[in-house]
Amino acid sequence: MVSTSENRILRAATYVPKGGVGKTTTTAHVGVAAADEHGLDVVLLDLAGTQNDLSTHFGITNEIADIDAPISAVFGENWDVIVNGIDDILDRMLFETDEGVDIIPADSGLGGADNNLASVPVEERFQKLDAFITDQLAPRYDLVLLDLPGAENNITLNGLFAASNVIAPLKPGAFESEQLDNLHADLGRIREEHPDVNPQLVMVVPTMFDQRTNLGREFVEELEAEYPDQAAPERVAKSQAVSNWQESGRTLFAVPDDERSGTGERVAAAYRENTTELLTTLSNT
Amino acid sequence: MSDEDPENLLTEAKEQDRLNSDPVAPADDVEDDPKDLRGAIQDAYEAIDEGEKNENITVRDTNLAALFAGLEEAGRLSDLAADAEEALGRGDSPVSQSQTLGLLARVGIQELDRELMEEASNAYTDHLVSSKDDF
Repeated sequence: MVSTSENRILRAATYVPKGGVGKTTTTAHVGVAAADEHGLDVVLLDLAGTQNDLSTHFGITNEIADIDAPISAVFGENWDVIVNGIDDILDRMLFETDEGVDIIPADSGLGGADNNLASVPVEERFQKLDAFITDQLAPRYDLVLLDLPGAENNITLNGLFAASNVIAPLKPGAFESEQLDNLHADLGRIREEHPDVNPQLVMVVPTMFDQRTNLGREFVEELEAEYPDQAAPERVAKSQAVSNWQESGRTLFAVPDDERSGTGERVAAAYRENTTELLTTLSNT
Repeated sequence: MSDEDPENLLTEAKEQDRLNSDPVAPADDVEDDPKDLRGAIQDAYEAIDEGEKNENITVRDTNLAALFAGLEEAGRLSDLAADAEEALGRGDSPVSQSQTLGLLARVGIQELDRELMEEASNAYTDHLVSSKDDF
């Protein structure tokens, strides 16, 4: 079991400039595993567009239908006025789930916020979210996981600056053998172009893994050989159970044991194992 | 900064939209040394020679399209072209509709800013000289 010191908040962001690889699923399951298995106070921050997939994953779509305290406000020039003028601003941004984690959902203002960040001097542009996490979230939570957009925009760069630690779910596929090298190159380029932003790849999680295929096995073998320090200890198997339960607003951890399929149980176990490894890594950085 | 009421500012944050937000580029994003016009025109000539820029300019204007089609049909295009050449101090030579439009644009620029035409001419000379050096 991993614990954290008072007022220190562990941070990580799921980021891959590609869709459909399991970023939101990873964020949700790692977050719940951290809360369940390690007793951490966990908040998930959804910055990945306005579809609100993370909230859907936990079945709180109705609750977030009309957000009155949007996360997009953090990135604006008026944030200081807002946070100093509204005592319960954080409480209004947070939504509880039935699985022991809280969520700050995405909102429709993120696109405009991304645009407006272009007006901010570059030395301040990517630090908005970091300040929010340090000032508002750290006193209350042990772990924050950021679900970032697949596009490299000002919101994403804020997330990478704030979290620094990057979790990359990657799905084995026909063109995916180069994707890890591309991701490394992308993160390197971000560090070069934006010296304040220092994303470090801490874990690569093979998702939707099918051990029956050569593609899957070869991808994982290549990953474990070339990136031994980042390869997740467990591969996450391809399982229809994940999306089935996602549609009903639950992670696999919320499913009763006798209702969870064989592959579903393997997926849950993989996330538990990977979360323990991740938290150990984050605690040591 | 807009309305100071924190609640109103919170509402505004959610309503901001990529389509209606218009950021101003901060000073540190502006180029320190904007290129001078003569150099920019010379670069454009090179780009056109390399096929990287189009040598045509396009004007979408229904009224002008109708006017020039009518002039050509009525046999009066050449008169207009001759007037334009005289204004530019050029010799009389047969011109097409496209060439006439080019002459008229030059007349217009010359009327508005004669120094600009001279700058363009200098840039053209620079381009010819630099091309000659590429042996």
